[in-house]
Amino acid sequence: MDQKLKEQFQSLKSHDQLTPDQSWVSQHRRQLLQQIGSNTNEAAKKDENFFVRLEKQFASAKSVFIPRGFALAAQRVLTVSLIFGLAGAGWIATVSASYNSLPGDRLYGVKLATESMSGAVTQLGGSQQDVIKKNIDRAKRRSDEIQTAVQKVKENPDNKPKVETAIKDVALKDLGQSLESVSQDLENISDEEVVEVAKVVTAETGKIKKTLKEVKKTLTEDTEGVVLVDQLESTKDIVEVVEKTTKVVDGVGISAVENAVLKKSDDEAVKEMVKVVVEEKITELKESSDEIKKVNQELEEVSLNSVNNVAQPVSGPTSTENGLVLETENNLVDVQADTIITRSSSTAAISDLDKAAEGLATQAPQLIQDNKLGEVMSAVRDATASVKEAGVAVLQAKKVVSETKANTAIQEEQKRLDAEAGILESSTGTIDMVEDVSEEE
Amino acid sequence: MKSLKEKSLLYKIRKEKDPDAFGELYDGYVEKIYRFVSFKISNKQEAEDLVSEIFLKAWQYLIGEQHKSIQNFSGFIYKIARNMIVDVYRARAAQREIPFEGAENMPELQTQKVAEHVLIKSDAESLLIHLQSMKQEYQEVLLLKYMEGFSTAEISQILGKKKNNIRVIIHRATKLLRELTGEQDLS
Repeated sequence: MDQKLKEQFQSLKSHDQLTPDQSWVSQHRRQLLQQIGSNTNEAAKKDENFFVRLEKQFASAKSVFIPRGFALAAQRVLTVSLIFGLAGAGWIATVSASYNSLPGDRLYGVKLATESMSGAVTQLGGSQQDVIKKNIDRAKRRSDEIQTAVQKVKENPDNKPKVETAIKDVALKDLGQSLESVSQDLENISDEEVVEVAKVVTAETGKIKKTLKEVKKTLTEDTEGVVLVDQLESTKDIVEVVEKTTKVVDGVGISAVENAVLKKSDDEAVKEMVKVVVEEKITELKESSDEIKKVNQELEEVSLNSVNNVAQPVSGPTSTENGLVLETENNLVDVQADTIITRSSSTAAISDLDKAAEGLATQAPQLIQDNKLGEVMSAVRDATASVKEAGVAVLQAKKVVSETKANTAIQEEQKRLDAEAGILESSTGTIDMVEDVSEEE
Repeated sequence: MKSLKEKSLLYKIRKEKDPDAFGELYDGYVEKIYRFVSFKISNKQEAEDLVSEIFLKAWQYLIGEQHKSIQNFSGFIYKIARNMIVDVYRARAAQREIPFEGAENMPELQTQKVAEHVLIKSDAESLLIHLQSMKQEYQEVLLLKYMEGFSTAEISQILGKKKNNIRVIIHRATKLLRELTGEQDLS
């Protein structure tokens, strides 16, 4: 009816009775402007000085643009808001300046605090899904920051200790906490949202994992070739925390899928997710196996090297500083024992990994087809445990490698010193002999 | 016309007594005001004179010493137009030419007669006749809403009534118009 009425009225607009003659309109306009033009009094305006005119100008502007009663109140409000505005602007500037800060920067704490605040708001007003997304985003941001910070430190190691501490104690901790909340919230998710959430969480944790792996690579590549053990320590700590966090990330991704399997095992999307998880896990197992094999080989070379090196001086007739030799010998025995133990444990880890990878590859497709997703997921869990153990073995092996390398370096130095001492000793020996001869005479 | 543009024109008129600024306002409103006036005053000559008076009065009010500032030109000019129409009606009522109030109490018979009368006319014309048989308030809201496209808030400003009140009036007027035109359709 409204629309029809409008149309009818619009057609009425052109009705003769309601339309003015255009000739009358223009003629009347001319007359009107002439009439009112003579009304204006320019003289009064000229007499006033500039400031009076300005004030009047303001007053009339105000009365046209702002309602009268409002103007007075507005003046006060404006003053007060200006004061608060200035204070607020400082705060906003700080927050927005903190937006691009990295671990170790002065404003990094402000950034985290701001995020916590917006997270709290989401927790109050948002759905469970929103809260999870927010937390996973937060974790993702942390991982990206860590990557950038690590890269920056590598290029410019000026404030390396500060940044490394911030990464370890603040950024990685925040990442872990965000993920912990995610895994808690995952338990309370509704059946309707579970698949959607699982998709998001697996996708995002996948990205975070990838980033953390790159971080680890950046950190360890930095340390490769550097023999000095004490310089390694701080970085090694971070690497350890990074690896631990990576495991947590992986765990959250898996539990999201497990959750979906539990609540909606008949969903085709869940099946697809399980497939993806299995594939990723197999790749991870293989990678882990390759890594540990590489380290194992390195360990073998290093230990062989050290045995060869030390063997000569120990049996050598010129070594007289028995105390030192003994100490090195003990050290060597320790290292060799470590090497043997490490090698055997890493060999066991390799076989575990290979077996797990093979098992997943052969059995999982059939299980998925039979809709036994729960079993597949528990196999994935087992595989994750194997990778975790392998990770420990790799760390241990790397430690032994670096210690052995360090020992070998000491041994080489010792050997060189011994050699020098030997030359010196043989020359003093000749002098002694000369002296002996003279005494006999 | 954009309200900010109107405000700057109003400012120019107040401050500089600028006739050209008023000319611009005139261009934007002259046809609307003419429609508003001629709706109630069917004599062309009379309507033209009244429109001319309305704009002159508006100008004088704007440049004079104001006790109340003008925020909204459309509300202002329509209000002047309304008052002047009322003056004309009063003068006429004194001469007993046309009854001013009382359209709302129009007897059934008369409505019937009007409906018969409009049968032969075009749709637009019959609508006009129906409208003119309604009381002033109804005419105004229907005209402002459906022809000029004003919002309820703007109409409330022009007529000087509360928005809720305007909403009710629009509803009643529309209903009555529907009844009137519906009767015509049936017959």
